[in-house]
Amino acid sequence: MYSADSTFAAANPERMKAFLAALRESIEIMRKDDAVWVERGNIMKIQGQSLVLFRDEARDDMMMKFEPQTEADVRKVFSVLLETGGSQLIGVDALPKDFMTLAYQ
Amino acid sequence: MMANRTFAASKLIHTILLAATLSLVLSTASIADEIKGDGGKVRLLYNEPGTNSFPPFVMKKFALDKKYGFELVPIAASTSQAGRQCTAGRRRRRRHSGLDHAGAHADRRRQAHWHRAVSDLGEHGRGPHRLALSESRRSQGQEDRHLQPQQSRLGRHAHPSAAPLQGRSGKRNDAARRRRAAVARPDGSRPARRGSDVQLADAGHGRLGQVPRTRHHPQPSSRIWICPTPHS
Repeated sequence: MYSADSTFAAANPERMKAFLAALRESIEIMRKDDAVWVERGNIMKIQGQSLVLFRDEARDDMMMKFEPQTEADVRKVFSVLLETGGSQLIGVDALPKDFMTLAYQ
Repeated sequence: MMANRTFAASKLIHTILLAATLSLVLSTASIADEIKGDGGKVRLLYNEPGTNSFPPFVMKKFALDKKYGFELVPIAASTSQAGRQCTAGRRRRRRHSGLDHAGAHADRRRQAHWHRAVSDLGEHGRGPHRLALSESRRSQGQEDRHLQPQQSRLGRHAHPSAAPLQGRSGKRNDAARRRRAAVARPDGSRPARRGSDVQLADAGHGRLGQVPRTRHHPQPSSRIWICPTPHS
């Protein structure tokens, strides 16, 4: 997840929106353009078949934005984890009331 | 007749493709016109060997930050997994390069002991090494030209960075040392040297510590998720 300081985001909504627009376009490029994977893969020392496997898996996992039901899904997953592992293992007792937003998408 | 049909079909396909390309370009351009930042900076943390290093790379490569009206400042940071890898690599490098467990060279560790010894001797004290050197020269009837009276006080020669074990000298180093001394903090510690991996973290206890190259940013009061990462 990308997170931002809530005070900063509230003070700079246009910048947040611009960043997310650029992020969405970069994901579009990564979905279509193999060359960027090769170029970045060379920097990361991932080449050949490994790069192809990595690229294809990452492309499948790419999410461009939160959906309206995403927060409910996250809370549901958290409740299962809390019930299974307990708060000591997870580190928190509950999710904050406001922890994600669709405001800047 | 057949040739005319083929020509017409190819022309139609060409026109459709051109129209599709134009509409794509126009739609991208209209989004960029519609969403425009204020030109300010967005500092984005990313993990260098991780998947989330791709978006800042692509944004910079295609100048998407300029297109949408902000300045992207990618900042490489480590996740806990990358941290373990880095730590393991650092341990290996230390073993091969003579660094101790704190990431400090042996001569810097000796400087810390030197500093403690000087501190114990008080303001006008001389470190044990210099005292021994001075006594040795006197016993041999030699003038101690390196230790002028004003230099033997707590000043450039009393500071560990001026200790003979460091093996540094010269105007440039002296100037840097004076600058660091001038901005000494109230607790007596000194700021890190520029570009250095280690510093005298706590001169009073003679300990050496690893300090990050990046500055510490204050922890924000609250954070809010704004978007999923590409690989979340």
